[in-house]
Amino acid sequence: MNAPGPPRIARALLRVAAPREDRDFIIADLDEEFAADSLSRGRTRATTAYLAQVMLSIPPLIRQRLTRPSDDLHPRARMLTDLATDFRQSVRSLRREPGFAAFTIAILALGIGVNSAMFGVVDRLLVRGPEHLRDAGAVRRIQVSLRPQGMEMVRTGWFPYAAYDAISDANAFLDVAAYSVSENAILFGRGADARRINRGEATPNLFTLFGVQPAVGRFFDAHENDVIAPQRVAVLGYGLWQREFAGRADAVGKAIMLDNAQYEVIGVAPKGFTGPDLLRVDVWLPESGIGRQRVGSGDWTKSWNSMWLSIVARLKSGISDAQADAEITALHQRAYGGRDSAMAKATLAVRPIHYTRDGEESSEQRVSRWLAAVAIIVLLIACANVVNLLLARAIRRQRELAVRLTLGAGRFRLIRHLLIETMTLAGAGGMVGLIVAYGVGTVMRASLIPGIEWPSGPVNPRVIGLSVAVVLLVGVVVGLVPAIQASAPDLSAALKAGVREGGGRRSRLRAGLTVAQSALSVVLLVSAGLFVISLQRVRQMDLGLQPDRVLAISIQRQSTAGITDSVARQRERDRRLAFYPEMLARLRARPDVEAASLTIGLPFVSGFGDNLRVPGRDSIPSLPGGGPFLSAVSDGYFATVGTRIVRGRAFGPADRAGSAPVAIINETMAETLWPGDSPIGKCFYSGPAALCAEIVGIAADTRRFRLREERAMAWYIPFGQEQGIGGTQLLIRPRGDPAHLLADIRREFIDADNSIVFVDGALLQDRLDPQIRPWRLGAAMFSLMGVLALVVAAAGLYSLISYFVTHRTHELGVRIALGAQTSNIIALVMRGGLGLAAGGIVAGIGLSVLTARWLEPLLFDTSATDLRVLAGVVVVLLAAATLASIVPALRAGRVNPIEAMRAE
Amino acid sequence: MAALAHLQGDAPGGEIRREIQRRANRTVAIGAVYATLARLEAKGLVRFYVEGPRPTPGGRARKHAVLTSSGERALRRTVTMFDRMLDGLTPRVSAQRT
Repeated sequence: MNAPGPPRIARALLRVAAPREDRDFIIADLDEEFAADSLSRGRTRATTAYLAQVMLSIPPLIRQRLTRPSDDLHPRARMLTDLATDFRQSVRSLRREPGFAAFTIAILALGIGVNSAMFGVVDRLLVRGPEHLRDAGAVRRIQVSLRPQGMEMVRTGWFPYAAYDAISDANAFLDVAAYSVSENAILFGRGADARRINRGEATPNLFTLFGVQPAVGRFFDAHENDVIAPQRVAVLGYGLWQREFAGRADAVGKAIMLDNAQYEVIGVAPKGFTGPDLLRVDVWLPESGIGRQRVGSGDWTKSWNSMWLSIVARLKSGISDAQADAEITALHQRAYGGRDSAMAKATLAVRPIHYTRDGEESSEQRVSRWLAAVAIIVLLIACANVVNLLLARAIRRQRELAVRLTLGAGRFRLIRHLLIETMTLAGAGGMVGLIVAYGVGTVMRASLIPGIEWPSGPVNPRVIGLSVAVVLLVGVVVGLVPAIQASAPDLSAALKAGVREGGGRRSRLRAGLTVAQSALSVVLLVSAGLFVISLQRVRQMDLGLQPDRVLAISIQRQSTAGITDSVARQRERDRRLAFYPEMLARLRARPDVEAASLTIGLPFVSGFGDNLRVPGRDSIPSLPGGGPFLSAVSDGYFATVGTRIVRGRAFGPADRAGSAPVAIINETMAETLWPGDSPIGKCFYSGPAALCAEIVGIAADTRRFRLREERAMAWYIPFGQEQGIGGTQLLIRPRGDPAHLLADIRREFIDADNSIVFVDGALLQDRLDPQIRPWRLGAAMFSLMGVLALVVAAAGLYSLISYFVTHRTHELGVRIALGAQTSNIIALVMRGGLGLAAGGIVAGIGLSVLTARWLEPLLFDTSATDLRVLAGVVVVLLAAATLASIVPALRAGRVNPIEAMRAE
Repeated sequence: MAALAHLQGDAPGGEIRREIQRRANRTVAIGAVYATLARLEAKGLVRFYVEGPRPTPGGRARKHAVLTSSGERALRRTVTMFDRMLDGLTPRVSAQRT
């Protein structure tokens, strides 16, 4: 067997760099030394020495070749040396005009940087799909579509285990897996250090379906996921492994505490593995263990009521989506054993894997698609601007270029030289752009799209690759037209005249580019305005309660299952029940608490649909918003959450367990069940209650789950009178800083009751924020890019008007000499600038109206042709154009006619 | 040129490089040696000849540099000038030379 030789790439580099007559000897010398070194010092050191020799040799060899006649050069090497010469000249000529160079590089850096940052986001959200997924094109999510009676079509991606079981043998698929990922769903550790982490649960074949390999250890298998006796084994997420076990391989085999139960760590998922969703997963557990807990008693695998799983499948090759849809719909309908008639007729469909768990594109994805388009617009504006500047510069350099052509430089060579110049500018812009991309990307990730696991930094190889491609493209696009124009000047005119000549065609091109820039800025600013208004509308929307003022707290306790004595167990349960009122009293006594109350069922957190009967009514109409919904609330609830009592009274301390049944209903329920009549004093049967509850008040409607939802009936009963619903939340309306209060309460609760293992608390607003995020993302990014575009376009207009003033100094001088007033001259120049801006505004408004159709679905209660926004943008653009034109106009007004004419 | 003189005025590029490395105790790039030799050749101070491959496995042709008579003269002159320039300098500098 031949011993491996020196690195091939190094040898190839040497071959290109070395002169032909020495090439073979140099290589032979180094190869000989490499062979000797390999024997005496080992291959690694020999390779290092070889590489060092090559890297050190290339500069002197190239220098040697550059300093002698080039006729014996290898053609590729000659091209390289020519390019190097052009590059050196470009750098020199750009250094002569540092202002021009800096401005151009800055504009390109913004354009390229913003694009790279947006690419990073779009790449993650729309293109790449989940990490570690082999052959992602063949993997699909399953979505179910059903139309409940009286409601619109509902599409979701949540299934019971029984549905997974029904379709897991479908012929269309190679493999079908079920999983669920929940944020802050499981308690990790114990005592004061315990905290909630993100839990993933999966059938073992999720890992084989992905084709993912563990970083350490192994994933769980079918035996450990046994539906009757699942094992307590855990696979750590890579991040948790790094944080808690410092990435040590001996973490495998250790025991960890999850929800106060001991689990054995059997492996670690690889870095960036999140399953089909993009959410970080801290620990993966076998599905069966969680499924049993969720469904409770009975054979949990046969229940059709609890839906918590998402299903993914790998299609067999040659099977179309439609074929798969038909097969799984048939399997599901045949197997369905629940009582929901809409679900029995539901259709199933396969959807792309990068969609959300509901099988739809998320709002972030839709907004980011728009933002990618916007980033391209910003780049176009930047390019138009740079082309403009280059055209102006080409006119300044007309004479220099004419001299070169006359001295025998070929036109091709000249174009190449000019292109190298723009490439140099674009390259520098690209490098600075990566810094911009890092900044913009970091901010976007942290503030606008949190909760997504990013396997690499904002500037990663793919982003750099895109930047390089953009730089090359921009270099050519931006440079080509000015280069071709500049390389074919009218030689005799250029050599004779001063800098004055520009040519009408060229001026028209520049004016057209300026108009295009303004038009595109208008489009961006209009979009920004629309998103800002949407965000404002979302924030000002009357939700019926004040989520930013309400702290919702829930308590997790040790299970009472360990208490074997039934009397002791009942005593413990009673003690726990009494704990809430005690704590409520203590909280209300605090000076930093304005109001506090208890509730079961809370908007944006949990909701309970229940039946009701009204004496004298056969049926209860079903509303498109679903429901009716029931909550059990203590006295002070409405004051705590900030919901208005429209009529009647709120619950008082006397409304409690065992007191006379009373109820408060919402406005929709009052209007639906007692139209045109006062419901106060009437009564109805709440759920399974045997006694008719008297209506004592009417509360304002509140949102229940989403910002956008149909009205639904809802009623409230006193806390303690509820039957069959549970999950008490403690609500606090703090006076001061909620974070400080929360820390205090946590300590107080854990000290007061040793059965409490975790106190979970957050502002209600935090639950709502993910829903507001798309508008926030849109408003922030469109505003940023709109302002960038405006600044760049204004700078472009300024440079154009300045150029016109310089270009027409002679003409202006003549006008002044002939008696024109300063004001006439200023007006003349301003007219030019504002005329261009006006052209841009008209075109931009036209474009905005055309794109309105696509933008409108992303907005919130805002028309895409909102007149206030359009008018505002017109004013802003005119103001910017005035600012950009006024400085050159004033300069024009100060032209000294004698000097202007003498200069010619 | 001094290294070449140490090698009896006739040596291939690789050996010249090793000689400089050994005496100066620093890494020298083979490219720099060939580039320098090419410059010296242009000035007529060295000339080249190619030695055919040796009859051993892996034997390769080598390009030898030979010090020309004007090269020798130039080296001698440089050394003499250098000596004269250093003559009479402080003992510390002289001591370092030896």
